[in-house]
Amino acid sequence: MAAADWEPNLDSRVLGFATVDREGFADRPGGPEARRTNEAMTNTDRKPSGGPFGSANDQRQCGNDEEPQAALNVEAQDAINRHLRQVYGDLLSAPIPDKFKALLSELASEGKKK
Amino acid sequence: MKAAPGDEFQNDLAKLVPNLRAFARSLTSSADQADDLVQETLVKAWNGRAGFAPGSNLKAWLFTILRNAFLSERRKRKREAQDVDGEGAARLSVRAGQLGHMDMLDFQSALSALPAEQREALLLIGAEGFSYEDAALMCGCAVGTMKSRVNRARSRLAQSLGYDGHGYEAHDDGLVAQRAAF
Repeated sequence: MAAADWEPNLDSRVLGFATVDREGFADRPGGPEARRTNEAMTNTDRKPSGGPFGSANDQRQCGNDEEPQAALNVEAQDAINRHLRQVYGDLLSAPIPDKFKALLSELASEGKKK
Repeated sequence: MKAAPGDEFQNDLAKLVPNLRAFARSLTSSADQADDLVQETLVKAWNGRAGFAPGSNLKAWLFTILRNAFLSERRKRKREAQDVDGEGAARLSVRAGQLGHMDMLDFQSALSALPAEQREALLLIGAEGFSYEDAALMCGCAVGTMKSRVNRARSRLAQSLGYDGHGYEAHDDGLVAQRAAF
């Protein structure tokens, strides 16, 4: 490779990568992969891959709260639901302290006085 | 003899105290704090009962009051803000029921590790049985956001517990036994 080929061109200084492989990226570790990534990031002509809102990955990177989720299988969902009901059911069935009844009675009696 | 409107309202509130306590426990870091929150909710509900439309969803109304009271309290106690993202439900200590003790501990641990918004969404939908629409109204978000939070919560739980959605990995004997019983 000629010495002149190693001169960085304007593109590489401004954009941080070479649009033409004059710097021999392809010969360096990770070169072709890095170049493909750079091209993908700067290729504004590409069509969105995931419909009008971009791909699921695009949305994930944007922090979209309504991103599509991979569906869990039915058995996994059932297992989670059962565990959840068990945990919450135990909380629901915990004995209720008398102070709540007392409070409600007190509120009701105050209401009647008014 | 038909109960007076005030008595009826009082009875309806009393019936929902267990639900309010359970929800409060999922939000706060201690049983005492949860009970304080429920008491505050009851007082506010009683004082604001004129604003409740009879026939509408009382439970959703009360949960909204409780949630708002919790958020107000949290704003007052900035130093406890971290608690919402993890420690709060860590004390969702319940006795192990029919499931194996370790299963329940694993599940509680995984549930506690969920982000607060996801845990709340999962409890409202999966445990309390609210519709996505009602839960979204309560939490002041879009229905799609609520669905997303529930899905994320389930996915995280599945991942934490070892059923990753690609196949059921029933590595815990308690679950296997329970599945066989059904």
